[in-house]
Amino acid sequence: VSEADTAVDLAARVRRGELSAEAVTSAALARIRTLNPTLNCFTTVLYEQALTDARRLDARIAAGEDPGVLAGVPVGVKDLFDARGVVTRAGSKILAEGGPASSDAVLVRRLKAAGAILLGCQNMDEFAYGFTTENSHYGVTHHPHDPQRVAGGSSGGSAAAVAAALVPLSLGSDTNGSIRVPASFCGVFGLKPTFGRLPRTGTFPFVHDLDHVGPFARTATDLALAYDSLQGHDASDPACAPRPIEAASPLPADGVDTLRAGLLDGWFEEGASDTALAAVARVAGAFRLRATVSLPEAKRARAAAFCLTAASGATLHLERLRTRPQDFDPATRDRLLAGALLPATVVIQAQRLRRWFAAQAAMLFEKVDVLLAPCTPDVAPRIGQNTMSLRGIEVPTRPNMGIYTQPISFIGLPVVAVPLWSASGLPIGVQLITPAWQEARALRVAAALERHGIVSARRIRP
Amino acid sequence: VEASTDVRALWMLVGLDIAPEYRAGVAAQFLALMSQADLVLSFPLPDQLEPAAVFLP
Repeated sequence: VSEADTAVDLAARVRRGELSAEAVTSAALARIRTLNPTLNCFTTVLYEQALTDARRLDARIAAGEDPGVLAGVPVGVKDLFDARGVVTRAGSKILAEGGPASSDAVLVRRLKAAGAILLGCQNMDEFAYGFTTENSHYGVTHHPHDPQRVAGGSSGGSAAAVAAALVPLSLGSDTNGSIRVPASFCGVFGLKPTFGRLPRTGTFPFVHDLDHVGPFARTATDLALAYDSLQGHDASDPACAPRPIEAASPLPADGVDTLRAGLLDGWFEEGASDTALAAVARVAGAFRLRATVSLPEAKRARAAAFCLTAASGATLHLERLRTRPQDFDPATRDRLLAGALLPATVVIQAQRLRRWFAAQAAMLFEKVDVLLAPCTPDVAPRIGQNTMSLRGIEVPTRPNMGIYTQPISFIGLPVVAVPLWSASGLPIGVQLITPAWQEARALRVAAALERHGIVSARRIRP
Repeated sequence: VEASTDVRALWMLVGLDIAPEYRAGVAAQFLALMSQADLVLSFPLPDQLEPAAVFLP
């Protein structure tokens, strides 16, 4: 077993009987034991349970059963997914007082049904309200390629665990960019599916009409395999769309030869660093057919997502804010308290703007097949860095990490974040944005860019 | 930033007795939030445009 193994390779070898799930699990747990104390990706590690599950899977294989397409693949999930027997804390101190989950989240069940072995739960910003995973209760998750920097957030532990090869696959959530921002900073692939594609049943919510869940991986093929294993309607999530499974695997080889790319200008390039602009240009250059296109009022769309988040998050936590504000992470508390004061007119108008803005995006997709934008304005900032320079203007670091992701999740479009590498040795991600329900198209482009050597995850320095 | 009387009136209205040590921080976040709210409210939209909240009966 090597840390370079992909989920596809591991599952194939386990299925053929060349490798036991127990051996794969033991190797992954040993790597977590070595690296997690410094990186702080996992906040709970299921050492005993994971080995028990792996031995059970090996017994099923020995009995001739089909163990599933993710046979023996170690996985981790963000600390807002229920894992039976573990307290779902969502990065908070308050929820840590609750009892352990009585069952797995639906997506955890689906991963296990495909043969995956759950190794544990991963660090995040408190209640998913942040872009850095600097958690005052459970510590900072460090950037695997530069420990002085943040991993991004709020799914920081999940992205960093994949980047550091503690696991080949993780699950995260994305309300305003919480999959795409840490994928960008850590240099891994991340998928934020269409809003309503994957059920959130058994996850702790943040903003009901903006919450998405999705996977991280180190290759496009692994990302597609994980996504396919996760698909399917679940009526317990009222926002989950009753759509059939539309498998993305196997990924066709022609993504950039025939599809038309639209580079988003305006909001999506203003404030972007040279590194971010170069990454988008590199991706665009791979397409034979490309044009620059404008998505109007993206700044207002971002503002609307910002307001909906503050108001909904505040409403969700209002009673806890009233009775025990001192138990919140200071980074989330003040913003949630402020959100409780937002007038209803702003919320309703934000939801009206959503319909208008979605129509603007739909018009762009009459001319192009995939939209391109940076995931983040720059590479990962340093831990504790309160301000950053966006083309010479000093702005607060935390809210500005999501300026390019927020307008897109606002209207629920699917996005694959793909990793490129700057001269500094740090990664940065590009968003491949497709029309609603066209995740397979974005994954197909990601695979083509990978084959052209433009996007890749990298092994961490020893 | 010192919490203005206006902001204080708002949090009394929603039943939040915000502790003195949090007031300056909350007021600062509220001002930042209202600058984003202005961007939302200042954009004219057609009367017929329906809100896109999520509810499927």
